[in-house]
Amino acid sequence: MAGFLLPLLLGAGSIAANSFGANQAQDAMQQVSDLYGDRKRRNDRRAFEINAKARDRFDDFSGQQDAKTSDIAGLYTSAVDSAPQEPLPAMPSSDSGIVTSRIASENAAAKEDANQNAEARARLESFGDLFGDKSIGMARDAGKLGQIGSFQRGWDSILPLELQAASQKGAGWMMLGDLLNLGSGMTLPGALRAGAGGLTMRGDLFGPGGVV
Amino acid sequence: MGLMDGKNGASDQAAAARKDEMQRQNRIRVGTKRINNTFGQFDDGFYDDISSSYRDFAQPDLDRQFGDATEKLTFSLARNGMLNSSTRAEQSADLQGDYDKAKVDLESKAKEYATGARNSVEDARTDLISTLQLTGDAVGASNAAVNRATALATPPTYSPIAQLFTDFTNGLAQQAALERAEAYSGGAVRPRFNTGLFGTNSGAVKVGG
Repeated sequence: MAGFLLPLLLGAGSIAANSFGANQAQDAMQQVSDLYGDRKRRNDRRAFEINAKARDRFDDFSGQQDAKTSDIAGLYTSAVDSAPQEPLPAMPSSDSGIVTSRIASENAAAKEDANQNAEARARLESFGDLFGDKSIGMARDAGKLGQIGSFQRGWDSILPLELQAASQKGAGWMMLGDLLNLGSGMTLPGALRAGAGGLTMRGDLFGPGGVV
Repeated sequence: MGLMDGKNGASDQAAAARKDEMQRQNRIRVGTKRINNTFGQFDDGFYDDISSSYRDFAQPDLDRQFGDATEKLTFSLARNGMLNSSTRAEQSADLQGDYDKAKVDLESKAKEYATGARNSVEDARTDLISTLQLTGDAVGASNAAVNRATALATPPTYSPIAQLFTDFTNGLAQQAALERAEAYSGGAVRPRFNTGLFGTNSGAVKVGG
Protein backbone atom coordinates (compact mmCIF):
# COMPACT_ATOMS: atom_id res chain seq x y z
CA MET A 1 0.00 0.00 0.00
CA ALA A 2 2.85 2.35 0.77
CA GLY A 3 4.02 2.02 -2.82
CA PHE A 4 0.78 3.65 -4.07
CA LEU A 5 1.24 6.65 -1.85
CA LEU A 6 3.79 8.37 -4.08
CA PRO A 7 1.82 8.25 -7.33
CA LEU A 8 -1.32 9.30 -5.46
CA LEU A 9 0.48 12.21 -3.86
CA LEU A 10 2.03 13.18 -7.17
CA GLY A 11 -1.39 12.99 -8.86
CA ALA A 12 -3.02 15.04 -6.14
CA GLY A 13 -0.14 17.53 -6.28
CA SER A 14 -0.58 17.75 -10.04
CA ILE A 15 -4.26 18.55 -9.73
CA ALA A 16 -3.58 21.11 -7.01
CA ALA A 17 -0.75 22.81 -8.93
CA ASN A 18 -2.77 22.95 -12.16
CA SER A 19 -5.76 24.31 -10.36
CA PHE A 20 -3.66 26.89 -8.52
CA GLY A 21 -1.98 27.94 -11.76
CA ALA A 22 -5.30 28.22 -13.59
CA ASN A 23 -6.74 30.29 -10.75
CA GLN A 24 -3.74 32.57 -10.84
CA ALA A 25 -4.18 33.10 -14.60
CA GLN A 26 -7.90 33.75 -14.16
CA ASP A 27 -7.28 36.18 -11.31
CA ALA A 28 -4.61 37.99 -13.32
CA MET A 29 -6.91 38.27 -16.35
CA GLN A 30 -9.70 39.53 -14.13
CA GLN A 31 -7.31 42.08 -12.66
CA VAL A 32 -6.29 43.27 -16.14
CA SER A 33 -9.92 43.46 -17.17
CA ASP A 34 -10.88 45.38 -14.01
CA LEU A 35 -8.01 47.81 -14.44
CA TYR A 36 -8.90 48.37 -18.09
CA GLY A 37 -12.55 48.88 -17.15
CA ASP A 38 -11.58 51.39 -14.44
CA ARG A 39 -9.43 53.37 -16.86
CA LYS A 40 -12.12 53.32 -19.51
CA ARG A 41 -14.82 54.38 -17.07
CA ARG A 42 -12.58 57.17 -15.75
CA ASN A 43 -11.87 58.40 -19.27
CA ASP A 44 -15.53 58.12 -20.25
CA ARG A 45 -16.53 60.08 -17.15
CA ARG A 46 -14.02 62.85 -17.92
CA ALA A 47 -15.18 62.96 -21.55
CA PHE A 48 -18.79 63.14 -20.39
CA GLU A 49 -17.99 66.00 -18.00
CA ILE A 50 -16.26 67.93 -20.78
CA ASN A 51 -19.17 67.28 -23.13
CA ALA A 52 -21.65 68.40 -20.52
CA LYS A 53 -19.64 71.58 -19.93
CA ALA A 54 -19.52 72.17 -23.69
CA ARG A 55 -23.30 71.80 -23.89
CA ASP A 56 -23.76 74.15 -20.94
CA ARG A 57 -21.91 76.85 -22.82
CA PHE A 58 -24.94 77.21 -25.07
CA ASP A 59 -27.53 77.36 -22.30
CA ASP A 60 -29.59 80.53 -22.55
CA PHE A 61 -27.75 81.60 -25.66
CA SER A 62 -30.13 84.46 -26.34
CA GLY A 63 -29.63 85.76 -22.79
CA GLN A 64 -25.89 85.57 -23.24
CA GLN A 65 -26.21 87.34 -26.60
CA ASP A 66 -28.21 90.12 -24.95
CA ALA A 67 -25.46 90.53 -22.37
CA LYS A 68 -22.84 90.58 -25.13
CA THR A 69 -24.87 93.15 -27.05
CA SER A 70 -25.03 95.28 -23.94
CA ASP A 71 -21.24 95.00 -23.42
CA ILE A 72 -20.43 95.96 -27.01
CA ALA A 73 -23.03 98.73 -27.05
CA GLY A 74 -21.48 100.13 -23.86
CA LEU A 75 -18.07 100.07 -25.53
CA TYR A 76 -19.35 101.87 -28.62
CA THR A 77 -21.54 104.45 -26.92
CA SER A 78 -18.73 105.35 -24.54
CA ALA A 79 -16.53 105.82 -27.63
CA VAL A 80 -19.17 108.16 -29.07
CA ASP A 81 -19.27 110.10 -25.81
CA SER A 82 -15.51 110.17 -25.28
CA ALA A 83 -13.55 113.37 -25.78
CA PRO A 84 -11.12 113.55 -28.71
CA GLN A 85 -7.48 112.86 -27.87
CA GLU A 86 -6.23 115.79 -29.94
CA PRO A 87 -7.29 119.42 -29.41
CA LEU A 88 -9.79 120.16 -32.15
CA PRO A 89 -10.39 123.48 -33.87
CA ALA A 90 -13.81 124.69 -32.75
CA MET A 91 -16.15 126.83 -34.78
CA PRO A 92 -16.73 130.30 -33.45
CA SER A 93 -19.70 130.28 -31.13
CA SER A 94 -22.89 131.87 -32.32
CA ASP A 95 -24.34 134.88 -30.52
CA SER A 96 -27.83 134.07 -31.70
CA GLY A 97 -30.10 132.23 -29.34
CA ILE A 98 -32.01 130.69 -32.22
CA VAL A 99 -28.87 129.42 -33.95
CA THR A 100 -27.37 128.21 -30.68
CA SER A 101 -30.56 126.35 -29.90
CA ARG A 102 -30.63 124.87 -33.42
CA ILE A 103 -26.98 123.81 -33.10
CA ALA A 104 -27.78 122.13 -29.81
CA SER A 105 -30.81 120.30 -31.22
CA GLU A 106 -28.99 119.22 -34.40
CA ASN A 107 -26.01 118.00 -32.40
CA ALA A 108 -28.28 116.11 -30.03
CA ALA A 109 -30.01 114.47 -33.01
CA ALA A 110 -26.62 113.56 -34.51
CA LYS A 111 -25.50 112.12 -31.18
CA GLU A 112 -28.70 110.12 -30.83
CA ASP A 113 -28.30 108.84 -34.37
CA ALA A 114 -24.70 107.79 -33.61
CA ASN A 115 -25.80 106.02 -30.44
CA GLN A 116 -28.57 104.18 -32.28
CA ASN A 117 -26.04 103.19 -34.91
CA ALA A 118 -23.71 101.98 -32.14
CA GLU A 119 -26.44 99.85 -30.56
CA ALA A 120 -27.49 98.41 -33.92
CA ARG A 121 -23.89 97.48 -34.68
CA ALA A 122 -23.53 95.95 -31.24
CA ARG A 123 -26.60 93.76 -31.90
CA LEU A 124 -25.20 92.79 -35.29
CA GLU A 125 -21.76 91.90 -33.97
CA SER A 126 -22.84 90.26 -30.72
CA PHE A 127 -23.73 86.91 -32.32
CA GLY A 128 -20.39 86.57 -34.09
CA ASP A 129 -18.42 87.68 -31.05
CA LEU A 130 -20.28 85.40 -28.68
CA PHE A 131 -20.04 82.45 -31.05
CA GLY A 132 -16.35 83.18 -31.48
CA ASP A 133 -15.88 83.00 -27.70
CA LYS A 134 -17.81 79.73 -27.63
CA SER A 135 -15.73 78.35 -30.49
CA ILE A 136 -12.53 78.98 -28.55
CA GLY A 137 -13.96 77.09 -25.59
CA MET A 138 -15.17 74.31 -27.86
CA ALA A 139 -11.75 74.01 -29.51
CA ARG A 140 -10.17 73.66 -26.07
CA ASP A 141 -12.75 71.03 -25.14
CA ALA A 142 -12.03 69.19 -28.39
CA GLY A 143 -8.32 69.23 -27.52
CA LYS A 144 -9.03 67.71 -24.10
CA LEU A 145 -11.33 65.08 -25.63
CA GLY A 146 -8.64 64.31 -28.20
CA GLN A 147 -6.16 63.74 -25.40
CA ILE A 148 -8.54 61.45 -23.54
CA GLY A 149 -9.17 59.54 -26.78
CA SER A 150 -5.45 59.27 -27.43
CA PHE A 151 -4.83 57.90 -23.92
CA GLN A 152 -7.70 55.43 -24.27
CA ARG A 153 -6.36 54.22 -27.64
CA GLY A 154 -2.98 53.74 -25.96
CA TRP A 155 -4.53 51.55 -23.27
CA ASP A 156 -6.54 49.70 -25.92
CA SER A 157 -3.37 48.92 -27.85
CA ILE A 158 -1.63 47.28 -24.89
CA LEU A 159 -4.70 45.37 -23.64
CA PRO A 160 -4.00 42.27 -25.80
CA LEU A 161 -0.44 42.14 -24.48
CA GLU A 162 -1.61 42.48 -20.89
CA LEU A 163 -4.24 39.76 -21.37
CA GLN A 164 -1.65 37.53 -23.00
CA ALA A 165 0.71 38.06 -20.08
CA ALA A 166 -2.11 37.50 -17.57
CA SER A 167 -3.16 34.28 -19.27
CA GLN A 168 0.34 32.99 -18.65
CA LYS A 169 0.27 33.83 -14.94
CA GLY A 170 0.58 30.61 -12.93
CA ALA A 171 2.24 28.91 -15.88
CA GLY A 172 4.98 27.74 -13.51
CA TRP A 173 2.39 26.07 -11.29
CA MET A 174 0.79 24.46 -14.30
CA MET A 175 4.16 23.20 -15.47
CA LEU A 176 4.77 21.81 -12.00
CA GLY A 177 1.37 20.17 -12.20
CA ASP A 178 2.31 18.62 -15.54
CA LEU A 179 5.58 17.37 -14.10
CA LEU A 180 3.81 15.91 -11.08
CA ASN A 181 1.30 14.26 -13.38
CA LEU A 182 4.13 12.84 -15.42
CA GLY A 183 5.79 11.62 -12.21
CA SER A 184 2.56 10.09 -11.09
CA GLY A 185 2.14 8.35 -14.42
CA MET A 186 5.70 7.06 -14.30
CA THR A 187 5.59 5.81 -10.71
CA LEU A 188 2.18 4.22 -10.82
CA PRO A 189 3.10 1.10 -12.90
CA GLY A 190 6.13 0.42 -10.69
CA ALA A 191 3.99 0.77 -7.61
CA LEU A 192 1.49 -1.57 -9.08
CA ARG A 193 4.15 -4.14 -9.83
CA ALA A 194 6.25 -3.93 -6.70
CA GLY A 195 4.04 -2.50 -4.03
CA ALA A 196 1.06 -4.69 -4.70
CA GLY A 197 3.04 -7.99 -4.11
CA GLY A 198 1.10 -11.00 -5.43
CA LEU A 199 -1.74 -8.90 -6.73
CA THR A 200 -2.35 -8.87 -10.42
CA MET A 201 -2.52 -5.47 -11.95
CA ARG A 202 -6.18 -5.29 -12.76
CA GLY A 203 -8.08 -8.02 -11.02
CA ASP A 204 -6.53 -7.65 -7.58
CA LEU A 205 -6.47 -3.92 -7.67
CA PHE A 206 -9.96 -3.21 -8.96
CA GLY A 207 -11.78 -6.52 -8.65
CA PRO A 208 -13.85 -7.84 -5.76
CA GLY A 209 -11.73 -7.64 -2.61
CA GLY A 210 -9.22 -5.53 -4.44
CA VAL A 211 -7.33 -2.62 -3.08
CA VAL A 212 -9.41 0.07 -4.75
CA MET B 1 7.98 32.91 -6.93
CA GLY B 2 8.70 34.63 -10.22
CA LEU B 3 8.98 31.42 -12.17
CA MET B 4 5.89 29.98 -10.53
CA ASP B 5 3.91 33.18 -11.22
CA GLY B 6 4.60 32.84 -14.91
CA LYS B 7 7.01 35.74 -15.26
CA ASN B 8 8.04 35.30 -18.85
CA GLY B 9 8.46 36.99 -22.20
CA ALA B 10 4.80 37.95 -22.49
CA SER B 11 4.71 39.67 -19.13
CA ASP B 12 7.97 41.47 -19.89
CA GLN B 13 6.54 42.62 -23.22
CA ALA B 14 3.32 43.77 -21.58
CA ALA B 15 5.23 45.56 -18.83
CA ALA B 16 7.44 47.30 -21.41
CA ALA B 17 4.38 48.33 -23.47
CA ARG B 18 2.61 49.58 -20.32
CA LYS B 19 5.69 51.55 -19.28
CA ASP B 20 6.02 53.06 -22.77
CA GLU B 21 2.37 54.06 -22.80
CA MET B 22 2.55 55.59 -19.32
CA GLN B 23 5.65 57.53 -20.35
CA ARG B 24 3.95 58.68 -23.56
CA GLN B 25 0.90 59.86 -21.64
CA ASN B 26 3.08 61.59 -19.11
CA ARG B 27 5.03 63.35 -21.86
CA ILE B 28 1.75 64.53 -23.40
CA ARG B 29 0.54 65.81 -20.02
CA VAL B 30 3.81 67.61 -19.35
CA GLY B 31 3.94 68.99 -22.90
CA THR B 32 0.34 70.23 -22.72
CA LYS B 33 1.08 71.92 -19.41
CA ARG B 34 4.16 73.59 -20.86
CA ILE B 35 2.24 74.79 -23.91
CA ASN B 36 -0.51 76.20 -21.70
CA ASN B 37 2.05 77.85 -19.41
CA THR B 38 3.82 79.42 -22.39
CA PHE B 39 0.52 80.65 -23.78
CA GLY B 40 -0.54 81.90 -20.35
CA GLN B 41 0.92 85.30 -21.28
CA PHE B 42 -1.96 85.74 -23.73
CA ASP B 43 -4.53 86.76 -21.14
CA ASP B 44 -7.32 89.34 -21.34
CA GLY B 45 -4.79 92.08 -20.57
CA PHE B 46 -2.79 91.14 -23.67
CA TYR B 47 -5.84 91.46 -25.91
CA ASP B 48 -6.93 94.69 -24.18
CA ASP B 49 -3.47 96.09 -24.94
CA ILE B 50 -3.88 95.25 -28.62
CA SER B 51 -7.20 97.14 -28.72
CA SER B 52 -5.72 99.97 -26.75
CA SER B 53 -2.64 100.29 -28.94
CA TYR B 54 -4.85 100.38 -32.04
CA ARG B 55 -6.86 103.19 -30.44
CA ASP B 56 -3.63 105.05 -29.68
CA PHE B 57 -2.58 104.53 -33.29
CA ALA B 58 -5.81 105.51 -35.02
CA GLN B 59 -7.49 108.07 -32.75
CA PRO B 60 -4.98 110.93 -33.37
CA ASP B 61 -5.34 110.38 -37.12
CA LEU B 62 -9.13 110.44 -36.84
CA ASP B 63 -9.02 113.60 -34.74
CA ARG B 64 -6.65 115.27 -37.20
CA GLN B 65 -8.95 114.42 -40.11
CA PHE B 66 -11.95 115.67 -38.17
CA GLY B 67 -10.08 118.87 -37.32
CA ASP B 68 -9.24 119.44 -40.99
CA ALA B 69 -12.84 118.83 -42.03
CA THR B 70 -14.08 121.20 -39.29
CA GLU B 71 -11.70 123.87 -40.54
CA LYS B 72 -12.86 123.45 -44.12
CA LEU B 73 -16.47 123.69 -43.02
CA THR B 74 -15.75 126.75 -40.88
CA PHE B 75 -14.02 128.48 -43.78
CA SER B 76 -16.87 127.63 -46.13
CA LEU B 77 -19.40 128.99 -43.68
CA ALA B 78 -17.31 132.09 -42.98
CA ARG B 79 -16.81 132.84 -46.69
CA ASN B 80 -20.55 133.01 -47.11
CA GLY B 81 -21.28 134.67 -43.81
CA MET B 82 -23.19 131.61 -42.66
CA LEU B 83 -21.48 131.02 -39.34
CA ASN B 84 -24.57 132.31 -37.61
CA SER B 85 -27.09 130.25 -39.51
CA SER B 86 -29.19 127.12 -39.25
CA THR B 87 -27.15 125.78 -42.15
CA ARG B 88 -24.11 125.87 -39.88
CA ALA B 89 -26.06 123.88 -37.30
CA GLU B 90 -27.02 121.23 -39.87
CA GLN B 91 -23.61 120.98 -41.47
CA SER B 92 -21.66 120.84 -38.23
CA ALA B 93 -24.09 118.25 -36.86
CA ASP B 94 -23.61 116.15 -40.00
CA LEU B 95 -19.86 116.36 -39.56
CA GLN B 96 -20.15 115.52 -35.87
CA GLY B 97 -22.33 112.54 -36.77
CA ASP B 98 -19.72 111.29 -39.24
CA TYR B 99 -17.04 111.70 -36.59
CA ASP B 100 -19.06 109.79 -33.99
CA LYS B 101 -19.71 106.94 -36.42
CA ALA B 102 -16.01 106.89 -37.30
CA LYS B 103 -15.24 106.52 -33.58
CA VAL B 104 -17.57 103.51 -33.44
CA ASP B 105 -15.79 102.10 -36.52
CA LEU B 106 -12.48 102.65 -34.80
CA GLU B 107 -13.66 100.88 -31.66
CA SER B 108 -15.01 98.02 -33.74
CA LYS B 109 -11.70 97.74 -35.57
CA ALA B 110 -9.83 97.72 -32.25
CA LYS B 111 -12.06 94.87 -31.09
CA GLU B 112 -11.49 93.10 -34.42
CA TYR B 113 -7.70 93.26 -33.98
CA ALA B 114 -8.00 91.80 -30.50
CA THR B 115 -10.34 89.05 -31.74
CA GLY B 116 -7.99 88.25 -34.63
CA ALA B 117 -5.06 87.98 -32.22
CA ARG B 118 -7.10 85.76 -29.88
CA ASN B 119 -8.04 83.45 -32.76
CA SER B 120 -4.42 83.25 -33.95
CA VAL B 121 -3.25 82.38 -30.44
CA GLU B 122 -5.92 79.71 -30.02
CA ASP B 123 -5.18 78.22 -33.45
CA ALA B 124 -1.49 78.01 -32.58
CA ARG B 125 -2.22 76.42 -29.21
CA THR B 126 -4.60 73.89 -30.78
CA ASP B 127 -2.05 73.01 -33.49
CA LEU B 128 0.71 72.49 -30.95
CA ILE B 129 -1.43 70.29 -28.71
CA SER B 130 -2.63 68.22 -31.70
CA THR B 131 0.97 67.72 -32.82
CA LEU B 132 2.01 66.81 -29.31
CA GLN B 133 -0.73 64.20 -29.07
CA LEU B 134 0.51 62.62 -32.29
CA THR B 135 4.23 62.74 -31.55
CA GLY B 136 4.34 62.62 -27.76
CA ASP B 137 7.38 64.89 -28.00
CA ALA B 138 7.08 67.21 -24.99
CA VAL B 139 10.43 68.92 -25.57
CA GLY B 140 9.69 69.62 -29.23
CA ALA B 141 6.22 70.91 -28.34
CA SER B 142 7.65 73.12 -25.62
CA ASN B 143 10.24 74.65 -27.98
CA ALA B 144 7.65 75.14 -30.72
CA ALA B 145 5.32 76.79 -28.18
CA VAL B 146 8.00 79.29 -27.19
CA ASN B 147 8.73 80.12 -30.86
CA ARG B 148 5.07 80.49 -31.76
CA ALA B 149 4.35 82.55 -28.63
CA THR B 150 7.26 84.89 -29.42
CA ALA B 151 5.91 85.42 -32.93
CA LEU B 152 2.38 85.94 -31.67
CA ALA B 153 3.45 88.42 -28.99
CA THR B 154 4.85 90.74 -31.66
CA PRO B 155 2.48 93.71 -31.99
CA PRO B 156 0.38 93.49 -35.16
CA THR B 157 0.87 95.94 -38.02
CA TYR B 158 -2.09 98.26 -38.12
CA SER B 159 -3.47 99.60 -41.37
CA PRO B 160 -3.82 103.37 -41.38
CA ILE B 161 -7.40 104.59 -41.26
CA ALA B 162 -8.96 105.71 -44.52
CA GLN B 163 -9.73 109.32 -45.41
CA LEU B 164 -12.94 109.41 -43.43
CA PHE B 165 -14.27 112.88 -44.18
CA THR B 166 -13.34 113.03 -47.84
CA ASP B 167 -16.95 112.53 -48.85
CA PHE B 168 -17.98 115.38 -46.60
CA THR B 169 -15.28 117.85 -47.76
CA ASN B 170 -15.55 116.79 -51.42
CA GLY B 171 -19.26 117.22 -51.06
CA LEU B 172 -18.67 120.74 -49.79
CA ALA B 173 -16.59 121.62 -52.89
CA GLN B 174 -19.06 120.02 -55.28
CA GLN B 175 -22.03 121.61 -53.61
CA ALA B 176 -20.21 124.96 -53.69
CA ALA B 177 -19.77 124.67 -57.43
CA LEU B 178 -23.41 123.74 -57.95
CA GLU B 179 -24.77 126.48 -55.72
CA ARG B 180 -22.49 129.10 -57.30
CA ALA B 181 -23.67 127.95 -60.70
CA GLU B 182 -27.25 128.42 -59.50
CA ALA B 183 -26.43 131.92 -58.28
CA TYR B 184 -24.57 132.92 -61.44
CA SER B 185 -27.17 131.45 -63.77
CA GLY B 186 -29.98 133.17 -61.94
CA GLY B 187 -31.57 129.85 -61.07
CA ALA B 188 -31.22 128.22 -64.49
CA VAL B 189 -28.93 125.58 -62.97
CA ARG B 190 -30.51 123.99 -59.96
CA PRO B 191 -28.73 121.64 -57.59
CA ARG B 192 -30.86 118.85 -56.14
CA PHE B 193 -30.72 120.61 -52.82
CA ASN B 194 -29.38 123.87 -51.50
CA THR B 195 -27.40 124.05 -48.28
CA GLY B 196 -27.23 127.81 -48.43
CA LEU B 197 -23.51 127.67 -47.87
CA PHE B 198 -22.53 128.95 -51.26
CA GLY B 199 -25.43 130.94 -52.51
CA THR B 200 -28.89 131.72 -51.34
CA ASN B 201 -31.10 129.29 -49.52
CA SER B 202 -34.52 130.62 -48.86
CA GLY B 203 -35.14 128.01 -46.18
CA ALA B 204 -32.09 128.90 -44.09
CA VAL B 205 -32.47 130.92 -40.91
CA LYS B 206 -29.75 133.53 -41.01
CA VAL B 207 -29.01 136.09 -38.35
CA GLY B 208 -28.40 139.40 -39.96
CA GLY B 209 -26.11 142.24 -38.98
